[in-house]
Amino acid sequence: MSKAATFLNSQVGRKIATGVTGFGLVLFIIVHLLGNLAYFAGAEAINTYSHTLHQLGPLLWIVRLGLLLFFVYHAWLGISIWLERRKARPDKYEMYASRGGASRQSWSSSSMILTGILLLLFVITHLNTFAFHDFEKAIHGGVEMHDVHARLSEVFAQPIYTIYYVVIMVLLGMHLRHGVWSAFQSLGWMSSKTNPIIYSIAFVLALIIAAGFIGLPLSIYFELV
Amino acid sequence: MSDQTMTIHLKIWRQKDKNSPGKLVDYTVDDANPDMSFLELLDWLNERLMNEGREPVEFDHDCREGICGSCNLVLNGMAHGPMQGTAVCQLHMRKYKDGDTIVVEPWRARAFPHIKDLVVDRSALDRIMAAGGYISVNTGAPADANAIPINKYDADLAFDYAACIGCGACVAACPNSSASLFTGAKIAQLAHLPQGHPERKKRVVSMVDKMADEGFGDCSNYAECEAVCPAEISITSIAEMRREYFKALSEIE
Amino acid sequence: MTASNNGVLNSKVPEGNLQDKWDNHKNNLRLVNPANKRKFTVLVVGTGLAGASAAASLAELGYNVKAFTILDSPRRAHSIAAQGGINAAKNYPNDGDTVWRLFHDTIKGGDYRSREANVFRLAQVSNSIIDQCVAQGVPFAREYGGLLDNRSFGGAQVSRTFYARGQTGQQLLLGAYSAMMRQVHTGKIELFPRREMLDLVKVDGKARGLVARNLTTGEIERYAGDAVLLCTGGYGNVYYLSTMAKNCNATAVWRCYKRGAQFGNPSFTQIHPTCIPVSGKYQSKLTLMSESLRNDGRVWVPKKKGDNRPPNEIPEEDRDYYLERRYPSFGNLAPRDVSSRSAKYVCDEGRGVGKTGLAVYMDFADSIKRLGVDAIKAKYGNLFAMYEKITAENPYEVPMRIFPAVHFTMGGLWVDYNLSSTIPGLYVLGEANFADHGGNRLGASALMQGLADGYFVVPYTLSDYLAENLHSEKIGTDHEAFAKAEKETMERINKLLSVKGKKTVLDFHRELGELMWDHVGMSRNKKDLEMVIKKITGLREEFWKDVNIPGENNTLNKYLEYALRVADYMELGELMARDALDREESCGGHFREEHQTEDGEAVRDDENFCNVSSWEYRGDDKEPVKHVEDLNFEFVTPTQRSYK
Repeated sequence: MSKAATFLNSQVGRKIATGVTGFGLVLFIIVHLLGNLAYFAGAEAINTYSHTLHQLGPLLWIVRLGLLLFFVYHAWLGISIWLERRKARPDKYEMYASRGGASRQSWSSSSMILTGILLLLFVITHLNTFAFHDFEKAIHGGVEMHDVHARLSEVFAQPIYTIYYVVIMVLLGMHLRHGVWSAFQSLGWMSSKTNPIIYSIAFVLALIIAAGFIGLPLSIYFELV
Repeated sequence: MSDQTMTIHLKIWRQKDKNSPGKLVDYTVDDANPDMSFLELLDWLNERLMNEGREPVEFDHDCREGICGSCNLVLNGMAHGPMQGTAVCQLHMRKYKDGDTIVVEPWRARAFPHIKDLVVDRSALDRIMAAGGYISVNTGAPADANAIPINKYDADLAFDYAACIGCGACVAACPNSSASLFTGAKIAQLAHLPQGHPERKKRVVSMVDKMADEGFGDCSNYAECEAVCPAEISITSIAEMRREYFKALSEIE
Repeated sequence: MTASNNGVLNSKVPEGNLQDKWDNHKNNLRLVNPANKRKFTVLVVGTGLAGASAAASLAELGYNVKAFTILDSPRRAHSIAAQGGINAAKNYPNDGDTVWRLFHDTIKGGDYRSREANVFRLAQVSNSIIDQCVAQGVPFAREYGGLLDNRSFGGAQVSRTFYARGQTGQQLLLGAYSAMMRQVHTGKIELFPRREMLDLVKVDGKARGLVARNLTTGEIERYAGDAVLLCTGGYGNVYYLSTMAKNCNATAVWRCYKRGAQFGNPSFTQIHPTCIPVSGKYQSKLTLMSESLRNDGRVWVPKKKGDNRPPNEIPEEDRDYYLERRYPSFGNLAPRDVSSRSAKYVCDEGRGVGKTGLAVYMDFADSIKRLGVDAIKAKYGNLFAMYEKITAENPYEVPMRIFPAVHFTMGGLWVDYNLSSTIPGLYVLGEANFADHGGNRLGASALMQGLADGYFVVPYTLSDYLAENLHSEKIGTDHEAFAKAEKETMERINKLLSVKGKKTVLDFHRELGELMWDHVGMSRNKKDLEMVIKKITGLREEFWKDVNIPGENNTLNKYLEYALRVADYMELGELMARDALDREESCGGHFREEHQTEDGEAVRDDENFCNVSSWEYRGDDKEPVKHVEDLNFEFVTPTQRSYK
């Protein structure tokens, strides 16, 4: 145990842990996105998908617990690294600028702590809106299940919530733009040749995920589906 | 070679010692020459200050050919100034325009305690090296130099990492004040050489630990270090350090 | 000035065949047993190749080492800037190299003014140096087969130079520095950065400690030990402009001279032909361009005085390829001293180029035509880029402008075969001693000497001295000799600070440098040397009356450090001129205009000057006394160099 603790408390260990939890969360987000897309296939598809997940019983709870752990740990690491940074340079520069070139300092990497905290707050409201919601019931193929479809249609009919959601998803895209690339580097899966490739892939992935999540609320709001 | 002169406005960090407050002080050099290096501009200014009975600006410098790693100035917010792969001693005034203003600051990090004006104490980097940045071989009679062939790819890569001049720009430019590029470069160099293998686990663990002990921050993969490194060392070295650390789990206590 | 050989100088070269001397000597040197090694403290001043390698090796043996550097880290010592490479007689390329050949080339290159036995030992241990460095992880250049690559350097006929791109010095120093930091970690070496040795402490005639200024706080600190190793490099900065780093200085060496260590061949300096020329008064330092460029560059100046046309508009018939003209068989590859002097002559004739008229062209147009731009880029790309960075001129299109610059000092404190100075317990290593390069140093042999002295010579010879002194009394820093040295040092500092004159230290240093460069540089004559000695005396007096040093002692004060160094440069500069005046011959880098052939070639005088001039300090108001160590060539026969 002490060995693991030492590892996880070291500067390298913390980065590796951030990367591992980050990858886990990205995986979840991708699955979540695929689930969301079921909306486009109609009420039965998305309601059945949700129902099937709920049927997993204890397994679902294990996954949820794991997710929670990853999420909290990831956030805690991010915040503590950010706090550490303030200690490591007590006297600030009068003027600071990025050199550009090889630098990966960008609107994305510099705002990780901000986008991260906003995502954290979002997740709490998001769970409240969807996970802990007392759903209407729908019956598909003789089985009674939560009417997720109706809830989504209802929520994204509201302009304020839709805008809020879209903005947060843009922030998620920003977070992933640096985060995905950074996770590869943190886990040491990088050579000078693969570095630019992975950096580009991270951008495309962030774009797809953000666009995917934004697609659903906008489609509902503008009644495209 | 140039006959024209230029006017350069400087805002230089002046601080008597660690315990005194510092501030930016304005100076103007109205007869700078485009062929001067930035350090020669400071010499020029200092000479004038001394002739006026004022105290010259203290700054570290030595070889003035970009290899010793002594010089350490942040110009307009960039460690070593605006030129890629260039220590500030090799930066010439012709890169600036007549009338430009340059803000000059020292390296800033908790691990680099301030000494005076633009001079800081970088001995923390030496202590990281002492923690494991070597191969334990005594002077004596090692095997013939050609006894272990090393493939050219690894040898060249080891050299790329070994080119670090130990200036500390990576720390100065890092938003987190991390020393990961400095430490990673040495670990990666020795990881690519068979001579470095017997101690590789112990080395990475003690150097990484030392880095944190000295008060350097965590690495957030901003790669600003690579952008300012006069030896243009790649952050791949940091990735290698992390791989080495992971492989060294058994050595961690 | 009186010459004498009153037996003071005993080179202690062992008996026997050249090949056997070092081995026999090692067999006879006394050892210190491991339990006793712990009782000894060795003070190592300077952490370049010689200092770092000595400190590491001695600590590994079990001695307590205190290491001092004027810089903030040992890794910044100026050894780091050596570009070309390091020689060794490995004969990996099978091109016929041997220890004998490396020895012979080095002693011939030095124009027969070095000690046979020392040079042979240097060649002998050269191979161990490469082994040692590879074991430390020094990333030397390798071939595709994984074995070490060698190249030919400085006109050598065999490929014996090991290199690490253009940063060999850096990589070797980092190797020695790592070895040293390992011992810092174990506690056997205690490191003192930002400390400048300002005096040697002698007790009963032996070196027993030093006083140093803490450059951060200004405190004068005392350090006691059983021996002192000076590894403080050369004194090229006497000339103000040189390729030396700004902090390289002669103070430690000079202070030891004033405490009784003799100074060998002070006038022997090497002026390197291919440096980037001076561009203005603000110039603080010169940058060397590797002499490998001379393999493909053709050196020329206009035939006519004051020909101001841009180089590319000067037609072939108006160009003077003076090296090719004067030295048809060596051409542009003539040795360093010969090339430098030739450049000086054409500039003196008013045919120099550039704004200052103090430069010659090195032209790659023919090579580019012959081999193509790509081939030239592959060979010299990084050097061309460096040149362009400094001068903002593109050498692929416009010829480079180059000029000679002070690069290395062959002279230094006199040492015997054991590297011991004339003060028992004071050892001098690397460029700081006078030993191995005679009148001129060959390319890629400075690194070799520094590491040979530190890794493979002094650990043996020092043990002999310490064994002899096993029972001598331990001296603490409360000994009166320390108090005296500290007091004198403080007085010197206070005196300087109290002058509060009008001229900056830079003014004085520039003036001294100009005198030295013009008259004690590439070409020297009696009249000028006599004049220079007088002028320096005047300059010294003016310095102590009119220097303006800002600030106080009790803080970081680089101009105070600098002033202390310049004060010593002026005294040393005078001794250099004296030595140059005394040596009535031309040899190596020392060229006396009175001693040349009709067509301007150097004339050596083996009859009267096949020796080392070793100068002893007798007091500030007295002239130094010259002692002579005769050089006996038992195994090689001195010949006249000819590059025609």
